[in-house]
Amino acid sequence: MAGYLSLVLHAHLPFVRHPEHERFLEESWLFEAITESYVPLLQGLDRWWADGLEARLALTLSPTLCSMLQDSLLQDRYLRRLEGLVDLAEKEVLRTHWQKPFRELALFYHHRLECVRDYYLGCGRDLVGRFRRAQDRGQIEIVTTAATHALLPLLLAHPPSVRGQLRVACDHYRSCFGRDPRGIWLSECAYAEGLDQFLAESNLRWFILDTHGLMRAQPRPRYATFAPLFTDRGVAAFGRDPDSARQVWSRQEGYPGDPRYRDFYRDIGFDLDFDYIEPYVPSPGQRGFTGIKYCRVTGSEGEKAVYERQAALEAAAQHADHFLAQRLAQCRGAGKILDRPPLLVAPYDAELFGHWWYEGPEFLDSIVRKAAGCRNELRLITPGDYLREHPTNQLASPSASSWGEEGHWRVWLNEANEWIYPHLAAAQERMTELAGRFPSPAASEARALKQAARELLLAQASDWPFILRTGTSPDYARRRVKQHLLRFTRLYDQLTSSQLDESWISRIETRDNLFPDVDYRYWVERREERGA
Amino acid sequence: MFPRQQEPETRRRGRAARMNARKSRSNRTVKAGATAKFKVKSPPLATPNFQKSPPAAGHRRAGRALAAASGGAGPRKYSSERPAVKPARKVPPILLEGDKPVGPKQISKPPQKPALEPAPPVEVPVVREEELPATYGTGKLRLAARDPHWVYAHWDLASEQQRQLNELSAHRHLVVRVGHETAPAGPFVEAHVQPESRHWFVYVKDAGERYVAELGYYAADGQWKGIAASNPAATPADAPARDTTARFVTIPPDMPLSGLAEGGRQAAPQAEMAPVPGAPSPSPNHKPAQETTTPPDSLLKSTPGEGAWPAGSLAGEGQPAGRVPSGGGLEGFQEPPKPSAPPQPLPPLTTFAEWTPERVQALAEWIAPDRSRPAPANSLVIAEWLGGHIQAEIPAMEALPPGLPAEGIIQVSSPLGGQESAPKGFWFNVNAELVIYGSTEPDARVTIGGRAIQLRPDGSFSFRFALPDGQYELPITAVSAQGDTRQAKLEFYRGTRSEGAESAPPRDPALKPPAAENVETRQGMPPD
Repeated sequence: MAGYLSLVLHAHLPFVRHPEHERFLEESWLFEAITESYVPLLQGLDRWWADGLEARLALTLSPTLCSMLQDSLLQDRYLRRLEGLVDLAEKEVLRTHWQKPFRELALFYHHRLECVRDYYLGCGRDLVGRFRRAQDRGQIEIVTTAATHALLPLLLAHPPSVRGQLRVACDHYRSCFGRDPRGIWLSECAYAEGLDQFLAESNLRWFILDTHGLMRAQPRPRYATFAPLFTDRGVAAFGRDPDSARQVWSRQEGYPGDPRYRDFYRDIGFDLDFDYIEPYVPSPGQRGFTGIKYCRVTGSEGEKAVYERQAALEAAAQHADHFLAQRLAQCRGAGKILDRPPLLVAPYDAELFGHWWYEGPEFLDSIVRKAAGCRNELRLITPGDYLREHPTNQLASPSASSWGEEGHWRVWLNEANEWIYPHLAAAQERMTELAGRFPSPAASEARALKQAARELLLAQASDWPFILRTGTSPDYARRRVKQHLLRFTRLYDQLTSSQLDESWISRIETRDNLFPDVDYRYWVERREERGA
Repeated sequence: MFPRQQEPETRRRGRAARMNARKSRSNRTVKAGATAKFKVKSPPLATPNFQKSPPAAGHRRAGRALAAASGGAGPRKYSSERPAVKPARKVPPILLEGDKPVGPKQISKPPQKPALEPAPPVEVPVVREEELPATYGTGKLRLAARDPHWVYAHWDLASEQQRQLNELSAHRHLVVRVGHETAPAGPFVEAHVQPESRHWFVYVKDAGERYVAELGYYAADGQWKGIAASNPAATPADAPARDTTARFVTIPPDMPLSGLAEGGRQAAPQAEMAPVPGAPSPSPNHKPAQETTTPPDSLLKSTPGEGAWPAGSLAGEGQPAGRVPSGGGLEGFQEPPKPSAPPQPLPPLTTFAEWTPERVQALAEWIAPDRSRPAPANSLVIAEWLGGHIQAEIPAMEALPPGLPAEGIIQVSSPLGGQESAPKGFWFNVNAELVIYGSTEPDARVTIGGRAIQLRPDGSFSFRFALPDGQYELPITAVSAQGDTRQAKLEFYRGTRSEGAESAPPRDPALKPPAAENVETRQGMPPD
């Protein structure tokens, strides 16, 4: 056998839920991802199951994403949006009556959206349950991530906060999937020395780092990224294979840039008459993405030509062929040198397949099918599978790293967003103080403590500093951080002065309603951690 | 991740310029969704004031394009059901319903960034914006590493406090000193901060080192006065390790790790480094790694009585695992019962065949030097080049030699920022769409062009159509519940002539000559 390929999909969205607004722009992140990435992935898994294809994939489903997928308000809104899109597609079919290429596309979208709707209703709106089923029948290994996708190295100065993020995530995983998580996707692959202790505490057995996280490990890894390392806590660190990453992500060489693929930005939400499109856009009164797009990439300049579905599918199949051939060549080449079959770890954002790269699900489908044909040479496995087959690995200390820009934490800690951290530091210590002060709280106090933990977790999300750094409209992110920190502070004040405003607490409980059983005691500080 | 996928400024501007330079579309080549600059008032779906009009008059109003029969310049004749007496010309109410002026906000504008643009919501309840406190009064200094050569220090002093300290300082501001944790006397880097700063990013020379910081100032006599000291922070490594010792351990997949954590920490401080001949040189031609053949007493081995694992349990089952059973109690908290099973011995380290220098070298050559640099990307890259800055097509499908240096890697931090071509002079887009509307009895079945359509509850319908150049026929049929049939066959012709075209594709042409009757026609009235 030449080697192993581990495809890892990371699905995460920050918790965005605004019952106070009828239509809210940022909720559309979730809706678009469901329509274009998650449902197609589930449909693919069903097809592979029906066709008897063995294809092990690892999939992260973040706790915030699962919470949103299971929330009934967001489910209602999603269904409404989906029905609206089906309606829009119907109108498009009529509108393009005399434009044959567009009409074919409109019919295609109409059919596709109807299929998504049928699937969603057919599974009782329970996508998390469907993912669970795929895991239970052995198709995928679902891994967790930090509760609100916090950047854990920046929390290390306050160990209870790291523990809180991880333990809450594990509890939530258990409630969704009925078992303990074995692997974890570290948010942004961000790791620093000492994190493995907390992972081991929760029996999280493996994680993934960017290439240099392994290549700069101490001591140097013998197998480079072709095999994992064990930290001295026994947790396995896998390193991303840069060649697989480059072929998909790279601007120069990446597959999704092929001119035959669908163009992301030419959406009818921007192109067509405003009155016509307004009922279907994500935010009232403003143009936005509908998901119905008629153009292909074509090129970097000039007019965009019409999208041709068949040509795009051929491109996806060709690229899948190419991708697998490259992986095989890599494995064969490295295998001659190594004394064990090499492992290639290829992690990607799940939303790449379908949302950003519309033909991504078809690319994945092709890969799974073709890989079945060369199963004796290249096997699709998960990192957990690898550890079962190869429980002996090199002992080393991985390097602090992330897969973000410049390889460390600059994106999340710079002049644009550093203001968050002093407030977080204070809130974290206060949470520990509260957890220690209320070992046996009354019912109302327990509610307040749980909500304080929720607000703190939400304030710690790495999504907010990321948007502040990379977005040009950071108002939403800024507002979110402030709101959660202010609510936390108010809860702290009320708890320490024993004057709880229960109606206000009820109100914010219904707004930020994730992790209903959050255990605030995770923030209790251990004696040996004091003074950190 | 969506909010993780933001488009950089350069790309947005470029794309905006490109979209603004939208070349005129010829309707002979198929282009999507050309924007109408003048448009028929689109009848909304719900038209409570919709007045029913007989099909005969309906189809007469429908369509704005002039019918130019072959060779004929006059208007196409419509159905013979035209009434004898010409009714007074009146704009059908349906065309006025839902009429919104097309203001600047509603004109098609180029997408500024992906769908994840966090725009403020429309209905924002008026709330007094609270601010976060300026200080929490702890007086603490905290340090965090950001990357191999930058640390971040922030301190929690009240404004008044800081002001007083500034006055005591000879420089009228505070100073942050950052030094190695193991060298308290120095050397250190000193950063003189702004008087009102509460944080500072400090450059440090050594990657892979533990640093501590001190906040203070220099008094008038030159003495250093410390205010607060920070926690230690470790900068990440920026290069591969020199130590090439390779030791291996076997960890059974079902062995719980939580006990391992405690055993590892309590029993073993540092790993022993086997001597590596020639280790100082970081070049690939290092000597082979040495294997240890005996399990060390250090790493991973738990001593009986300490750090015993809960027998047979996986961490986290119903209670936080990893609590220190040996008395590291938490105040005011119930400790879980100590596990009664005897401590499990750890697996010994495994011996591996020694690697030859040739093998080590072969792997080092196989792996491009760039493997130790951050590889491209995450989703940020996708958003960037999906915006259209695709410089080259994917190379041909021959297999690339593996292990090639990654000259193709673009640092994620530098967006391509390609220069977009400026708009090519004055541009002008015009297009036309068609609205067909009518009504019948609510329980009738209606098809347009053979396709069944949904009537509104009052039996009315209206549909918009794009109208590219060409000649068209559209039969519309209504069948009543009793089986009676009515049909109207509409015929349209649209022709386009462009004027003032340059080497660029022809601009969108005006549909008709600017005649008086055509102005009214724009309101939906047929020519006479």
